[in-house]
Amino acid sequence: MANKSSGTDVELMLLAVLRDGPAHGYGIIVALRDRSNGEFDFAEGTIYPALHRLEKAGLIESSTDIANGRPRRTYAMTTHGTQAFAEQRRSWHDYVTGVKAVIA
Amino acid sequence: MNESPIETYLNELSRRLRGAGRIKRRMLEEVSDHLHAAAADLHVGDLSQHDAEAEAVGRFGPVRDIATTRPRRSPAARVALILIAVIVAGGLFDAAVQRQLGAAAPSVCAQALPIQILDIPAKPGPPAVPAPLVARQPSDRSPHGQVCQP
Repeated sequence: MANKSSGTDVELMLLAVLRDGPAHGYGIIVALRDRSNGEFDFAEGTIYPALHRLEKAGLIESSTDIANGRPRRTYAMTTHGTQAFAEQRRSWHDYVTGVKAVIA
Repeated sequence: MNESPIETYLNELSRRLRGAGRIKRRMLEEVSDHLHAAAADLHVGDLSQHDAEAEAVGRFGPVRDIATTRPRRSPAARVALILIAVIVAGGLFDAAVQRQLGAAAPSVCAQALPIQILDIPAKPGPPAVPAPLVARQPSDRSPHGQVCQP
């Protein structure tokens, strides 16, 4: 069953994918689908507003090259993004630990 | 139906996208690259080119979820909005002036013109004759309806 995620969750997962290296939008979607074993199979277009928010916040940056005759934008994590990801991941783990303790 | 689903989608997205030209162009480029890459992956399997594009578009999601859905206003609606804004601003400005003059009522009374133009209410009936200008001496009321102190 595919999960629905909030915008913040999606942004955290996007950062997690980009932590492993630069990627373009479609590549990020494929990575998300593979790494979640299909659990996060949301409308692919929804990642772009999230990517643009992350870039505006300075957590990622993008550059354009040409692939298959078309412009392709590639995203990469910034230093600020790496720090923000570490903090958000810690918060997420704390949250999950708390929820697990409650529902166990 | 031989029209490319991707081109159809991009045309629809282009119509709906709002914002500066470079932002719109960037979004269209990204979506185009994404859809073509996805369709190429799907086409490797059993799907035809057309079906692969249709599947890629379906996975991408409805245009309305990607584009800003704020409706475009007609020129008439824009003019109406501007007029309303002008009227509201004028009303606020007038109220502010009235407040200022009200606070300074004695000096306004002292400087009132010796001749004042009175408003003659319109009368129903025969064609209107140009309203006469009625002169009068300064009264004990200011032009703004406030009583002057002697």
